[in-house]
Amino acid sequence: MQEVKTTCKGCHGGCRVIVSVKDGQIFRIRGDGESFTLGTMCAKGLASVYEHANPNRLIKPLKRVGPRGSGRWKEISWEEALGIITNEMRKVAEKYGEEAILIGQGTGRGYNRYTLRFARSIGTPNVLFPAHFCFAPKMAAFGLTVGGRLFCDYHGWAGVYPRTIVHWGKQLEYTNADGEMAVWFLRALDKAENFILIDPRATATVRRARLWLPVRPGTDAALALGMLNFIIQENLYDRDFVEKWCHGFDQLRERVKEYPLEKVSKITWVPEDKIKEAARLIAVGSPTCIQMGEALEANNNSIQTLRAIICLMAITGNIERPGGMVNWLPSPAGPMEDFALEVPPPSQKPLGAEKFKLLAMPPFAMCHWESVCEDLLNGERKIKVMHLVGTNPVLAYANAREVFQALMNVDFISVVDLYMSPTARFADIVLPAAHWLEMDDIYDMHPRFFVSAIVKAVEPPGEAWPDNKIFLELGKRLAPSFWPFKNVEEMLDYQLRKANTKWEEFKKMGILSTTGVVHYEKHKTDYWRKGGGFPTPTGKVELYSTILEELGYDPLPHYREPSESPLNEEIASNYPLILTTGGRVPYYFHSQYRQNPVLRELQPYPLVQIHPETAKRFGISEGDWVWIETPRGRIKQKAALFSGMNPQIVVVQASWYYPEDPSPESFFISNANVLTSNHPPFDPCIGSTTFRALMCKIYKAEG
Amino acid sequence: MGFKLLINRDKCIGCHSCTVACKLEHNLPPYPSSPPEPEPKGPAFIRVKQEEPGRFSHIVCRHCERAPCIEECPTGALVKGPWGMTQVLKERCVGCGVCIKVCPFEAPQLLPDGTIGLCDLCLPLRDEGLLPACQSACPAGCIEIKGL
Repeated sequence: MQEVKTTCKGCHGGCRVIVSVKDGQIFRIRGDGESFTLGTMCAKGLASVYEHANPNRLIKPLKRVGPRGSGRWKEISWEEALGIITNEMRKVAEKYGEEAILIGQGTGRGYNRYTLRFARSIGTPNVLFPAHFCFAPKMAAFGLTVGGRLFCDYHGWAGVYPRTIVHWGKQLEYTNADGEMAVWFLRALDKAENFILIDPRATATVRRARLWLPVRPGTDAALALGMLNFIIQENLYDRDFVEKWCHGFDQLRERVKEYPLEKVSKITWVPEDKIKEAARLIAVGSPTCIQMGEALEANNNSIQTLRAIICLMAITGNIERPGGMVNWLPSPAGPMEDFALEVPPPSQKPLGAEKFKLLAMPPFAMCHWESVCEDLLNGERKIKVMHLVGTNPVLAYANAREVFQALMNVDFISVVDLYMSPTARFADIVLPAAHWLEMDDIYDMHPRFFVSAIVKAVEPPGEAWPDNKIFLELGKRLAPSFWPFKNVEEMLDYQLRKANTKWEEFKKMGILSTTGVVHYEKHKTDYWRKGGGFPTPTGKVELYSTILEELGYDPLPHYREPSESPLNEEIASNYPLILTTGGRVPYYFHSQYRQNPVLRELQPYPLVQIHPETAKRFGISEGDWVWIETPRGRIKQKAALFSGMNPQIVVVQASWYYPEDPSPESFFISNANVLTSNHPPFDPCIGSTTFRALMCKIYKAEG
Repeated sequence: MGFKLLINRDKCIGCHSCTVACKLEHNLPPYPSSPPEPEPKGPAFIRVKQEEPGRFSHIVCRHCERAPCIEECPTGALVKGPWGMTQVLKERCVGCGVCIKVCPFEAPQLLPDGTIGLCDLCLPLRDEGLLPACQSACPAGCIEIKGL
């Protein structure tokens, strides 16, 4: 028997695990009790055994031989598959320019830096991440305001834990990373005095909350602006921090006067006294950390919503403060994204970035998917080739049926995946990927202050290859000067050079981290600026954003009503209920794991949460199949009655398809994105689409 | 009883880690790979159910001191073992399901071999110096088996 210490990538990943292997077979995965995650595990990570040994895994490169979607494939060699892909890319680059190639991936799974390095190395600006409604707005809003991403300090490295924890549109208890881990939050919660849950739903941690603010979906900016106004009016802000370290306080004070509590309460449906109490706790219950969820990013006003909340962190003096919000220093290996950023970016802007200007901002310039699709459906069809890694656009992006049509207008699509995914079924070449249990790599997702080793525990099935090897081999063929590494190990050695270590050594160490008091109050040192300050144009926390002003956007946070809302009579008369999609499900990760029998058993079918009163009104009982309909289309999910929300709200699970049914209808019948809109208005700065605040109607499905 | 199974329901987040950890540790098979209706569940010695928003309950053998399953089992297959743990004697069990009916927690699980299975406190793991699978996996820290 052998025990392999490695890093789980069951979600964004990051939990250290110990894999027990006997005769080349995994017989146990357990958490590493000596690691940052204390040996805890989630259902997804534990069930990874069934991913490695899943009979549905892809095991050979495949070439399409019938019409697209016919399911007729021919097994080919890697050499031939890579040859076909690189030929297509070369041909298109010569005829239309490199920008006609789109390199895309799904949510961050630890290969982001390879995706971006590859795209840059072949000269295309059109990199696709499903990020403009998830993570990129957060990075951008923090970047504009503070000069870098802030994280919740659940660690107490200065001996101080948060006194007040706020979860705002977030379920950190399910699924890790995005900077923080579930277990850090849950253990910090044991120590915190106050927990405030801001969410339309009474989510799993509600019983631990001192206050639950059931905010109307999509109105979070109004809530934050109202709190800012109250805190300023009541003189509860941190005068010292504001005077020394903030830019534009007077302008912010004037702006938030437009949001008196009475008005804010009407907009958000949160009673005035609750808003007051929450604002007071955030200010006087410091140190406070505010965990911002994706729900705040997936709307038509993402940047200003996040900026309003970041201003709240700033004026209450919680930035860079122990137990508050801190910009972590990277591990001794340095920022891993340097591996991508060291390759010069192409001179052209990504598609859509001329309009949504923050998408063009360094370091992570990327294209706007809705603009790409609009062009594929009704424009010049600028994108000719797509190389898609671990992503299902038909499930991930708004208006699934149009996304599918747009994909059909792409001349050539290659896909890398573990399974014959909905996207893979309509591709021209499909490459089999190795699972995290089957690869060597450096894990560097969002937690930032550490990197850890992903160490191969077992051989991949058939001829599956790790993502890093696939990128390396494609890179070698198309842009060899940027891919000079003989093999993956050499490429990993290169990425570890700043830590003066090599893969073989790192693999044994397992982890490189920076912890301790060195993280805090860096603005008071020369770390960012000589004499102190933040890495922003003014050197201060920019409550008033000079960058947004220069780009022609509102430099101060404001509220914007959701595009579809109960206040819009025309929509509300036909679609009377508020639809929100995409809340976390603890045993699935986006469209992943419906093939995993242990996880699928926990919940075989998609569930739509409906308030019992509303269900009664529409003659719906627990477990009934229900149609949910918007102007874009309708889908079926099973009713799960849930009393912990306003009866006007309907919550649909996202990313559902049925791998056991190969017909294309199986990617649409329960897919929440059949309901969502890919048409403007988007967030004006970064192009976010709305997933969390739409209008719908529901009715019982017969049979 | 020589041990205590403590579950802090207020801390539980309903993540089902315990269920999956238990299934894998005990090699309990999943049902099914493509789910027919109605939705059958494969066996697991600990399960989580949402009672109301944010409130969960756990379906797990409490190893009752006066255990109705032991009293009612027609074949005498359920007995008390070490520490007062309730155990199934496989060779005597005929899988009649009386124990499932009389258990106030519906904890006994019908296994694919037709016999009944129950939480065994992960005793084999204890011999390896490890905590019970559900306890060590739980991110909320809400399961504790004390006094073994």
